[in-house]
Parts: sequence; structure tokens; C-alpha cells
Amino acid sequence: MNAPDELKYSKDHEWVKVEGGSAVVGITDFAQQQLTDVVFVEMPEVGAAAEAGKPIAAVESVKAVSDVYAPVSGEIIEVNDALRDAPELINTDPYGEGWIFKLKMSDPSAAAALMNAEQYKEHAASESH
Amino acid sequence: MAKIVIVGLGAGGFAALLAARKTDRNAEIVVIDRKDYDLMHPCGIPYAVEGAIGSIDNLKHDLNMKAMRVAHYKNYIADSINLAEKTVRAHSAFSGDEEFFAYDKLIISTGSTPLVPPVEGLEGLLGKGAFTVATPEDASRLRAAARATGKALVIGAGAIGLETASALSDMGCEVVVVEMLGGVFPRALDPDMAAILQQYLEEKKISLRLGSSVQAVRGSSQVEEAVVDGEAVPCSILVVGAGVRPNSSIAADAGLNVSRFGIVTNEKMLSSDSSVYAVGDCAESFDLIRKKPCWMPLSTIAYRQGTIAGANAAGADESFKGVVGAFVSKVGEMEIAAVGLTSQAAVDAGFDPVFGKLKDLTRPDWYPNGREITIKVIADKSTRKILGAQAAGSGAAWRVNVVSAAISSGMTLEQLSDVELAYCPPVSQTYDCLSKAVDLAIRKIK
Ligand SMILES: Cc1cc2nc3c(=O)[nH]c(=O)nc-3n(C[C@H](O)[C@H](O)[C@H](O)COP(=O)(O)OP(=O)(O)OC[C@H]3O[C@@H](n4cnc5c(N)ncnc54)[C@H](O)[C@@H]3O)c2cc1C
Repeated sequence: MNAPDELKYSKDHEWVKVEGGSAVVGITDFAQQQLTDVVFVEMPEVGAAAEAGKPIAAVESVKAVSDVYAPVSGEIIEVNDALRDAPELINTDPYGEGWIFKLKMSDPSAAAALMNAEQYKEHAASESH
Repeated sequence: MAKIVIVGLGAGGFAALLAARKTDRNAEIVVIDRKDYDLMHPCGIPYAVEGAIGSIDNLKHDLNMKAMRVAHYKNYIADSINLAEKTVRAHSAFSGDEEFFAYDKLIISTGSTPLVPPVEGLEGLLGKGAFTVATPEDASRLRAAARATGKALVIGAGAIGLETASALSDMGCEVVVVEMLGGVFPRALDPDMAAILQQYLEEKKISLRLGSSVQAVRGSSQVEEAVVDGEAVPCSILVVGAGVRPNSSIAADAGLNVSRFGIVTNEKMLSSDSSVYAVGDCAESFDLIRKKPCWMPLSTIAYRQGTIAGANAAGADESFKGVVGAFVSKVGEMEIAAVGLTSQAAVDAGFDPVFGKLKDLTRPDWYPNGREITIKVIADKSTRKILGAQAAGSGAAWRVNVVSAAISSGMTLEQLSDVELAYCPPVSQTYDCLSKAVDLAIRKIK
């Protein structure tokens, strides 16, 4: 299972990359594989308030619509516009060009509570059974 | 009794002849054509090279001219038209004898000629390993050459070039396709859709050189190599698939209005002379999306224009609305279809395009042997009108044909989304990929 060490993970299969006071968020490789080909991404508005554990975006494949939860609370400061015309980036590069949004964390220490790569791999493995 | 003269018996001339006879049982109909047989099917040539239609002579087709009471002058070449006297001057290819044909109504359906690009050495090697793809004779010679030799280079990645490349490859030739523009079917496909066919060609071991051009063709008595971007590429067959040009000089010389798209026509298919019609590859068409003249050398369009002109020449009053460019090609096993504008063409025409696109299976995933298809539907953001569609894979054509109907009737995304598509598992899905693509485009605008 591909889960880079430098990222943090939520139980809902989002990854978080902490950059100072902000966090870049996407869905994990495991999550994109479960979804199959992504055809549409419903993105939050810039400026929207994200509440940890609450849905903030949605990723759709031909057969499923999945919520993307905010792994930490904060304010959306950027969304990945490239996903509008190329939602398949989530499949081809989930941890890179397939990032979904960036938020300014209300509590920058909150990310520390998320899983590390090792813990996430175990979590995902238990879900795939 | 009306006297109708038709110059050129291809798709357009044939349709005109049928329509004229249906409209007026008594009209006197004269057909002049330079071939020594009746009809020929150019669209079958690449497939004939590959052997798909049996004998190459199956491309030729005889008509019952006697039953239709048509005076058919085979082997006659039309040389000039006198609009004031209403006559066509033609000569026999055998005797050279000249003859004048008087008309009340004239239909010009002289088709097009392959464009031979000004590449150093090419002209002199035509017929000596270098071929255009336009006649059954071309097909025979290409087939013989492909059997005898192993390396072919094709200029142009349009339908003629790619269909021929695939035929030669299936016959065991090593094939290189050289295209000046950045992708295959550059006028019909967006780069992302072209990439699907490009990958298929790669798998088929047909090598593509995009954004490249042939500077010279060399050989002492036969083609031996082509120079591509300064590099010598050995080949014994060179196929010219660089497009076609309208055969409109006979009309221009007579004083009819001719644009860069061919003979200028109105919606009655009339030229600038009220007794002369022009149809098919030699004539201009009207682009229904951009609302301006265009040129679309397709058999389907030639036939439909011919039907209108033939009927009108015999006394009817029918109109040809225009074209949206519905197109399909089969390159090896890959069916690839398109209609309307590409995303770039839409931007160039002043639209604000949005698209819905996905890759799907032609059958439900629980039903075996579904085939892959990728479809893209393009619309204008502000008016929501459908502008185009492209599809690659099994069933590409029928889906694009539905979009063709939507475009010509001015439908919006929402109206196309409402169209019911028939379903049963071995044929399609409950929610077909065409509807899915349309709905994705709608969601993107919301
Ligand atoms: C290899 C190839 C593949 C193609 N594949 C497709 C396809 O898959 N789908 C599609 O829609 N279209 C296809 N086309 C295009 C299609 O063949 C043309 O659009 C169609 O034939 C045009 O019909 P037309 O009647 O205008 O001209 P033509 O069919 O070319 O007929 C013109 C006729 O006029 C005669 N003529 C010309 N000048 C004179 C003269 N001065 N005197 C006497 N006779 C004259 C010619 O001999 C010819 O018989 C293909 C074309 C080629 C070459």
C-alpha cells in the first residue's frame, strides 16, 4: 500500500501535508483504488469553514459518490482547479497533482493527532478485509 | 422537357441522378464522367488494400443506366462550361473528339484531388513507390507493393493516412506515420482523445512522428528513403495522405464564384449562376455551428447535397441546411468518431467550452466482454448548446450520431440529457456513457 511517510492520515482516508500553518488535503491511494475511475470532484468554495470530521468535498466515480471529510478544522484557502477538467489526476497521482484543497488550520497542532503512515496502513488493511 | 447535365459521377453525382429521376420521370438526364465504369467507392480503398473486401474490383459498381434512361458518357472529360450558352464542352479520352452538351440545369459534382505536398523529389516518384490513395488502381498498386516490400512511410495522420497505415501494417509492413500537427485526426480530436488512438497505434507497432514533416523523398528509380526532420528514414512505399483539394477550376474558369472552400453555393445548392448547381467535394458547405461557409469533403455530405441539387434541378424546391461534420473511422480495431467542434476550435470560434468526459464499458460490468469506450461531449457554457463530441472505442459512432442530431437541432446539454437511450445488457448500460458525459458537463457548470 502506498502511503508516504511524510504525510498524516485520517481514518476517512484523507491525507494531510502540513505546510506551516496550512494543510494540503487529498484522498489516499487506497481510497482512489476503492473508488475506481474518478469522473467528478465537487470542491469546496474558497473561504468556506471546514470542521474536522465533517464532509467538505465529494469525489465521484461512475459507481460511487464519496464524501471527503475535513481531517482538521480551518478555512479553505485554495482548491485544485486542475481537477475540474482532469478529475482522473486523483487516480494517477493521488499524493501529488491530485490534491483537492488547502486549508488554514485553526489549530496548527491538531494535525499531530492524525495517524502516521504506519498506523494508516494498518487501518486501511483492516478495512479492506 | 428539362435537360439536366451532371458532370462527375461520384457520391454527389449519383445521388443527384437518382433524385432528379425520382422528381421528374421525363427529364432528359446526361451524365459525363472520365472513368471507364460507372461508380466507385473511394471510402473502401484503404480496406481494399488490406484485403477486407475481396477483389479490389468490388470497389467498382455498375448502375442500370438504361432502366433509368440516363445518357452516360463514360471516358469523357469535361473541359469547360459556357454559362451564357448553357453548354458543357467535353472530349473523349479515347478519340479526343470534342462534344458540346446543352443543358437547362447543370450539376457540377467533380469531387476532389489528393493534395501532393511540395516535397522535394516526391512528384517524380509518384507511381514509383509513392502513391496517393484515390482510385482502385492506387489500391491495386499499393497492395502489390506492400506484398513485395517491408517498409512504408505515410504522410498525414487523417482518416486516409491512418486507415491506409493500418492496412499496410496488417499486411506485414513496418509503418511510420509522419504528421505535421501535434496529434492524430488533428481537426477532429482534442489532444486527450487523440492520445487514446496514438496509444493504440503504438501497441499495433505503427510508429508516429507527430509535429514532424517530410522534407524530401529520394530514390533513383523507386522510393528508397524519406527525409523526416533532417533524418533519412528508409522506405520503399510512400503514401501521400495529406488531404484533398476541390476540383473547382472548371467552375472558376467559367466565371462562377469560387472560394477557398470550393464552388460557392446557397442552400438550394445553386452556384452563383441560377442554372448551375454544385455538390460534394468540389463545393462549399455551410457550417451549422459557426454559421459560416466551410469545406467538409465527406461522402455523406456529397450524397445529401446531391439529393437536394438533383431534386431542385428537376423542379423541386428543397434546401440543404448545412453540416456539423459527423465523422467515423476504423483504424485496425479502434472505432473513432467525432462531430462538431473540438475544444480548441470552440475557443477559436468565440465559444466558452465546457466538457464532460469519461471512460466506461459498453456493457454493465457484471456482463462479460464489455468493451472500453471513452467519450467527451463539449458544450458552450453560457448558452449550454452542444458544440461537439468525440468518442473512441466500441460503439463510438452511434453515440456521436446522437450528438450530431442534438447539434443540428440546436439542443442544450439539458435537452440532450433528457434523451432516452435504449438498453439491454449485451448492448449497452442502463445509464449510458453518453448520458453520463452530458450530465458531468452539466454538473461542471453548476
Ligand atoms: C481513401 C478515401 C477514403 C475515404 N473515406 C471516407 C469515409 O470513410 N467516409 C466519408 O464520409 N468520406 C470518405 N472519403 C471522402 C469521400 O470519398 C468523398 O467525400 C466523396 O467521394 C465525394 O463525392 P463527390 O461526388 O463529391 O466526388 P467523387 O466521389 O470524387 O466523384 C467525382 C467524380 O467526378 C469525376 N470527374 C472529376 N472531374 C471530371 C471532369 N472534368 N470530367 C469528367 N469527370 C470528372 C471523377 O472521375 C469522379 O468520378 C474518403 C475518400 C478517400 C479518397
